Amino acid sequence: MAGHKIKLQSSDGDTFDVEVEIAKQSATIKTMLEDLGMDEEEDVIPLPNVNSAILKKVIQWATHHKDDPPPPEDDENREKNTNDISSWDQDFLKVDQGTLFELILAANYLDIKGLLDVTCKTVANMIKGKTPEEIRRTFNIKNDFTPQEEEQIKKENEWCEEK
Amino acid sequence: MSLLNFPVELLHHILDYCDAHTIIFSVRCACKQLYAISNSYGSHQLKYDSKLKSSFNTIYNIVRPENVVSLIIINDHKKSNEVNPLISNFPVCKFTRLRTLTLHNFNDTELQHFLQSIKTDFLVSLSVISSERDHTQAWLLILSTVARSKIRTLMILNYLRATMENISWPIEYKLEHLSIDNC
Repeated sequence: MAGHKIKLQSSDGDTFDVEVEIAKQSATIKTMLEDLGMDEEEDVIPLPNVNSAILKKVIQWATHHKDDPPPPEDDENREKNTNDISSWDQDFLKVDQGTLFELILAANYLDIKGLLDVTCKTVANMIKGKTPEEIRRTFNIKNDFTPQEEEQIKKENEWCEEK
Repeated sequence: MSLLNFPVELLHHILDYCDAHTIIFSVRCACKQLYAISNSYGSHQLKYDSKLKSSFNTIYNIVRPENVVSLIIINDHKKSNEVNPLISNFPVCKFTRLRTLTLHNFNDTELQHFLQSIKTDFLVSLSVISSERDHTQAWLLILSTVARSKIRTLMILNYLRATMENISWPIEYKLEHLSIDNC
């Protein structure tokens, strides 16, 4: 029913009224609604893995994409292109790295394929074209290779190139 | 929150959007955890440009061919009538889990080597892009491959000199997307 709403509760206790059709972009919520028969407006769906700030962003994304066609079933066979992020999504994902990572985890937990794909593409675009040191700096990763291990990796690459 | 706190399947999902060169030479070399995660990744997209053989060899010696799902081959051989030994010796039969294959600038003999050797169990997308070569068998080879596979997407570009006479499409095929340009 159009406009029918449910309540989503974040890990920190805030509740958000969301149209059922928007919430159902989450396969996790869709399954809950269908399996548990939770279709009354008074019913509250607890989402213990998503805090208020991230849930608000997820709802914003799902509201904007509510009329998108469902993702194709054979998506794993499609070409993995990272240049097709819409300008709205690009603006939406201009967030700090922590928020971006939390959106990925939330999209994964809520099973929202479109959001998971676009957030993972955004991280992939942050990786592409970078050297190992640039990747470490971008994601604050410590180089924990021993000098011997680094030498080994270098050899693996060089050895192959000489063949 | 760090990238390294992600479960492996999420990191692999991010790698799904990176080419093999990025994974092997950048991600894999950043730290021990990304080294292990890159080594366990099984859906590589590999691009082979016959001009850049050394870079490909590096990747090919680190990535097992059965972990490659997408392969792009660019044949840079100048003499169109000769078979490029790099192409004719390419171990295409070892790539057993290929889902998408793109071939640039192959002559008929090279195309025959590839399309007759390739395992088509998982192949769903085939793109064949030519330039200025003569093709008498290309269509037959391509359609024969389509007929014995589950290919759903077929793209053929720039087959200006291809012989299209007496071509009959397979009766049973699973094509859903067909793109033919400049043939």
